[in-house]
Amino acid sequence: MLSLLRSLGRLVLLGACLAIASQLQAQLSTSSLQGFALPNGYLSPQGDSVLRPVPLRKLSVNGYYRFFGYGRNMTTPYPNLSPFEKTAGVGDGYREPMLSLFVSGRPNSKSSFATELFFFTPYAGNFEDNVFTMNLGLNFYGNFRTRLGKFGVRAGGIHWYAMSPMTMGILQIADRYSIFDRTPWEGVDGTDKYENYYNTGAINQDLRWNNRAFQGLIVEGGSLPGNMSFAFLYGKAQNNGGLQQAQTDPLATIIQPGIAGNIPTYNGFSGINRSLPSSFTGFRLKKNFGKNFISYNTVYNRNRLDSIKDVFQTYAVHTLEYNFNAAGINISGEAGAGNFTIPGQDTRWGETALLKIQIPQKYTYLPFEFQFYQISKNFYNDNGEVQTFSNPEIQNASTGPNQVGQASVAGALVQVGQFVHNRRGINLNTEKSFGPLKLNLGWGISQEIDTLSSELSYVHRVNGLALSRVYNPFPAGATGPTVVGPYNRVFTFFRGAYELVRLTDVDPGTIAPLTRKHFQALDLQAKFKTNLFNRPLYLFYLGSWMGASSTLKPLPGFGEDVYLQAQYHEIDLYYELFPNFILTGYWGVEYIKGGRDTEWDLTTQQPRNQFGRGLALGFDWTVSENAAFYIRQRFMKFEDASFPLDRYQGNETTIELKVFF
Amino acid sequence: MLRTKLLLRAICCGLILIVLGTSELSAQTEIPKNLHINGLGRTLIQRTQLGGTISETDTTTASDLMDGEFLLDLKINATPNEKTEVQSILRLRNEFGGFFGSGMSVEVRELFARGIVGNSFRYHVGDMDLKMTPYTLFQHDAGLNVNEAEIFRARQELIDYEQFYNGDGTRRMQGGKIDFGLSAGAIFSEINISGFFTRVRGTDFFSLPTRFVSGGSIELKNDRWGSITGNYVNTFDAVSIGGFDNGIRNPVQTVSANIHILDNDNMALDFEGEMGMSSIFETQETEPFDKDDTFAEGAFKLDLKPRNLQITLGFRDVGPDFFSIGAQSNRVDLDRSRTFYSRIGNDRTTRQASIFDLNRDRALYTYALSDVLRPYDPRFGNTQPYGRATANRRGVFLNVDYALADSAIELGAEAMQMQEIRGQGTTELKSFTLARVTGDININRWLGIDNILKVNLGYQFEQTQRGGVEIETVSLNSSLLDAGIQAELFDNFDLLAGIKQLTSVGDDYIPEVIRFNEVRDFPGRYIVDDNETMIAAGFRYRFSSMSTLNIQWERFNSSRATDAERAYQIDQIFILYSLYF
Amino acid sequence: MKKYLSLLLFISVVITACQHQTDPFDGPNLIDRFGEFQLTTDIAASRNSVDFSADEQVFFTAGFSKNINWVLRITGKESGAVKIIEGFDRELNQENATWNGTTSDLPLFRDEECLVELIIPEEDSLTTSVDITVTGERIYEGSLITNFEEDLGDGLFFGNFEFELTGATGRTNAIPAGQGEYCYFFEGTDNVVGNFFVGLIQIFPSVNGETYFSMPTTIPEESHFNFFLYGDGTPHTIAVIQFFTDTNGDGTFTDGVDKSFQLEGDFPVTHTGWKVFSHTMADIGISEAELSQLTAVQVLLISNMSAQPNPPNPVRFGIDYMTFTQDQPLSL
Repeated sequence: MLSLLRSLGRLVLLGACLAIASQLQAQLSTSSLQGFALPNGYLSPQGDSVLRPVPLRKLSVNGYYRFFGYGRNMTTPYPNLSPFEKTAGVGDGYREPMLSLFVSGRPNSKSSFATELFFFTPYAGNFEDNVFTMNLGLNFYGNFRTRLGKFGVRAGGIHWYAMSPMTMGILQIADRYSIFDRTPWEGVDGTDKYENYYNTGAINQDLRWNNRAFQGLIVEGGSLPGNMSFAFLYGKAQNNGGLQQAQTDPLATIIQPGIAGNIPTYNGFSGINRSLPSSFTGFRLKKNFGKNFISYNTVYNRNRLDSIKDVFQTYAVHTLEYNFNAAGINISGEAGAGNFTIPGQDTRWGETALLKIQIPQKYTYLPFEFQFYQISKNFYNDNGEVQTFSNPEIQNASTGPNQVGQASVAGALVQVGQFVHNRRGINLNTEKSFGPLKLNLGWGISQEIDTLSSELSYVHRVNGLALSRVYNPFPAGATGPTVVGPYNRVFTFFRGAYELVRLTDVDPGTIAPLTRKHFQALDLQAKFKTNLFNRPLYLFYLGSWMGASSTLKPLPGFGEDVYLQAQYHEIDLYYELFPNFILTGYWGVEYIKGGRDTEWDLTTQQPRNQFGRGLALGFDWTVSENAAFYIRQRFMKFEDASFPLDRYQGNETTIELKVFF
Repeated sequence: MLRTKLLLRAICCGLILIVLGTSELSAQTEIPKNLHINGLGRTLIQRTQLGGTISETDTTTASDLMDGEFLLDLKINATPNEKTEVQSILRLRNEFGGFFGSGMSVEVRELFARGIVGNSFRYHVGDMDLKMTPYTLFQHDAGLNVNEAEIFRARQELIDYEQFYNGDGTRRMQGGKIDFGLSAGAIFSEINISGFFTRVRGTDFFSLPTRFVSGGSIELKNDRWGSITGNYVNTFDAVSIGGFDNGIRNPVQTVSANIHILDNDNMALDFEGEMGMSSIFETQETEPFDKDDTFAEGAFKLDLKPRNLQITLGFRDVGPDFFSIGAQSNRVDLDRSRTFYSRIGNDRTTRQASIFDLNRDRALYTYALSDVLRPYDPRFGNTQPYGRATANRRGVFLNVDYALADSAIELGAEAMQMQEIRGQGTTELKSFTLARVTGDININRWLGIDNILKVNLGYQFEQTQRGGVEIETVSLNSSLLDAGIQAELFDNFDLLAGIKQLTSVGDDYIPEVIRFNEVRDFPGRYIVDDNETMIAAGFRYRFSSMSTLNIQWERFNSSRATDAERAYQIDQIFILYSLYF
Repeated sequence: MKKYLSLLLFISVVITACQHQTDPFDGPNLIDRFGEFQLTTDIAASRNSVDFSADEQVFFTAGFSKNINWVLRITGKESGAVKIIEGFDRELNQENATWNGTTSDLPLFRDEECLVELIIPEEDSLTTSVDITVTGERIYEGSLITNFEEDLGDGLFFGNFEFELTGATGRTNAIPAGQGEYCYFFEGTDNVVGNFFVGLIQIFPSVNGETYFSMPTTIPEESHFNFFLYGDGTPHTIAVIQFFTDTNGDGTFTDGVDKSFQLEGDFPVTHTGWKVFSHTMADIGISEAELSQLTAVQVLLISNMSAQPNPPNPVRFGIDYMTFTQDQPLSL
């Protein structure tokens, strides 16, 4: 019966189809192909219910191509460099794009997006090592205006952001650095770079230069009632980012690969950090009074240490930042407190106070800037301007004695204006011009608040960049800092290297320091410009003299109470030989002398006595408005008269072609 | 993999060329008229915490998860001339927490070309969204919301976008299609013909033959009395590719009709229906699987125009052996593990998929075709777990839609009474009763204010019954409540809140299906006394109609009377910034 | 008018499309799957004694409250022979529970008392039983070479050339035979001449009063040789069976002259208890003419010295019921 009915059903269906077919047949004689006028939207992007058919009409696109090649010959290398004494390659070892394509769009007046595509090829003769990805990430922006004020939202990241020196920011040391070596993010601007440096100390730098990397959500409000503004951040700062053990291939996250309809789930891309959620939160409330302002700033950083138990390591900073101008005198600074919590220990609070007074030339013969500061050992913030590596208790609990890429440890010898916690001190800056000669002087002394450091550190300024290119501080899968040299006391970081000095006047049982450290710093910079054969010639000198001692001293020096002194003398020379062709030269020496109470060499029975030299020549050749070649040839030599194994010598040639569009 | 790399390289080069070729080294690039760039930008940061009874003893599960993503889909659409179009979506993605290059990926999400030949034939090659009828090729929705609260839609829209769900039943496929029309004469004013051929699986030359889906339709239109359409779709394995012994064939042919019975200023009466048959069989010679069956559906639609009242009364009959891969493949695959808290408790048992997971977890969804009926959860829907094409159902349905003239209130009601045609494990038949009411109350229109103040409500009750001796009896009652409020506190700044609650009490037998739709066994009586509640509150700012920022808190509670120790709670906070352009 | 015709046509089609296959239901019967089990009728045999040699059969009856998996295990109280009958039914009856004397596991049943057990595995192996008596064991088809029930006399040559066979070697009932009461047992150690060979017997057609072994068919492809081998699970034992054909046509076995055939690979004896082996005579490469003139079957005990320790362990096996069948192997 059923089969009969099914057959009947089939027959009827067949009948229906035949009827349709016969109708079709009947029609075809009189029918014609129906012409399609292009329907609206037919050729608009597919999925219009989701993506708006009205396309983006403007796209902001710019970027640069940067070829960076190098050849190196370390004639006297540190041990274990073999077989890489002689090498040549492409790329400076850091993650820098060869082609950076910055793409941004503003779909409407309230929203925009931006990203930076990253392309790199080592020109190794194959495709496998080529890289096509994003450089820093994806940024989204939204803004809106209400009766209350203007509001902005930044989502995604990396956002380069700063709030205040003590909460979120990076120190800007006036202009006391050599500009001979180019940074990857520098522009193509001929002599303007040197002219600007001569005039203002500022050179064309990338946004990231004076901000901290942040991912997440930033909400800002401005023009609020009562001249108020605010900023709120929630997300991750660099220190609590990271994706350990993460899946990296989207195709590997597809369930049932090979069957249409299954797309990447991205499951596992977060790695174990997903279950160790760490975050960074910030808030700033600012009140403006004309040119003056006062603001409350706070950050809270939480690192989760255990995926199951509620075990956290946190730090928080609360400050008031102020800036007042009266009768030409500027008084600014920041004061507050921070705390740090280590599992199993009570939360510890520490104060921070910074006062800056700028007195114009009209009151004194010279313009002066005084800086008074006191920063507790318990003030910790690895996203602020203050170097907070000096408290071993915090350092060991947070990152270990030394983390990858860290720029110093313990009691660091720093330039004038660089703040370090567990110190109180005073800085003085002044400047004077004598015709084309511009001088500026910085002087600072400080002392430890608590006797903490049994170690000191100082930077190898002259050849540090070249050394960090030989020994990459961020090798793939790095789990610790890159340690260099026969005595395992030199550490490389991003574009630099520093050295650790162990003190000997310590408690032999606990290795605890016995004496409080005092630090001195003197920076002298001279900038001179003249015309030679009607072409500009720039001559820059930068000298730094830094020291640490067991007694309070106005200047670094010699003597039994001196732990360490470091001198740096650098001269930059730039001369426009032909239009758009600039000869460049660099000569630098550094002299580091260890004191009696620092480690001695076992054979010579002498403390450090280091002398480093760097001599470099090259040229900048601007071949068109946006394109230039930069050639640098550096000869470097370093030796320690007391530690005979601590020596290296070599030379490095770098070729950079940069094209902006 | 290599192919993907090369494709990426090609697209990226294309992007650069497009950009450089038009940028004239200037920051602001005027995009040429024949180049369309659209896309999506998204920032998602979410924090999920596990709590509740099970956490008191659970020493093996992470209590707190935090992840997120930032992604940009750049849709580059080029129309070199008015009859040709090429489109690709390039996805740039960065995992939250990945700094300076880690966690970044670049993918090709879509690529197709389409156009018009001779002003007559439309063609489309590559990725495409296809839909025929609910019984041939159609992707029915998950049916897990009844007028869902606005606050829950942000996550649902994210899943819909990721899975290419366009809300109209289309299914994302890859292949080619063509359609054209004939303007005819006396009887049929228009004859529309379309056909497609897609590949849904490539062979591994070992165990899986290449699988294709092809089909087409012929629509005969008459301006006065409606249209009748013949539809055909066939899912089949190309056994000759790779030399396989066995493959499947699943042809489905139907005839659908839309007949205008009456249409005047006061009312319109239409008849809509579809009927047809399916076959499913294997090509192997030993013990081949071979089944066929028929279905039919017819409904009268009455539109009382002055009253804004639409009433639909219909009948549906889908045979027990009716099998249509293109129509019965669920978009939710409950067999997949969750991407968060997939296993909880010290015994690491799998956590049952919940209404929270279905709103949160994109990995549970797919648009893949399945040659075996995917498992379903009777708590979520027992009457039609596979949509209208659910086999072994016969019954009537009634839909009523009503709206006040000013749309201050919009009401909807749906009722369905279905019964099995063939018993499962017994000659006794299950009966299914489904009742659903929805309502949107636009309070601001009552109050005469511009800012949105809207309450939406939805309630669904479903009952499954079967008689017989004790072993055979089944009684399962499930109810789903959706309620929400949207209050525009300031211009474009909304306060959102909502609740979704699923209650399910009773028992049923869930068949274990093998080979297409063959019931192999009933693992055991499925006894439930479950309560799942999801509440949420948050804010949303609408920068524009295509750009929003949501900051939401959600709490989900799951309790099962049959397993009280495993009751758990999930708290979630997420930030979602969406930019469509 | 057309629209109403179309509507009518469509609705009529819809009605015809509503007819479906509704019987039987999908999946297993729920009552069988989850219903309560009760033994409504205890097991019973259709007769107390059965003579299989007279083509008699016995069937068993029992009744359950639902369909369920059941196992009928018949055990020979003397031979230890076991017959298993399984099913999924509501009752045992002549269709599903009839025994014709065959066996599932060697040895073969004898004339003996048998225990018949009905086991329901899903009900904690619920077991109920009944006894029956076999008064005549089943007679299997085929041409028997020997079952060692009688002394073979001159029809058997015992070759212990290297004096490596022990006294346990010979026709014996010390171990339960594969069929009947007697079998032939080999035991020895290859410790005199380390050449793998331990000992042999030769069986001649004279045991059946014939010149050549008779068999159902002399077509090698259709002629199956079957025998039972006994092992005790000890390693290194290999049984070799060779067939000799009357090469010189003298009607008797002439050692070194008559051509021999054997199955490649022989028979490693690693199993425990009795096991039936079968192969076609085509498998040993013998022709129809040669097969029609078999003058001897030689059984050798080989010690696998390449795997033996030093000193080597003893090796042993038993053999019984050597028979030829036609078209198919011996069906137990």
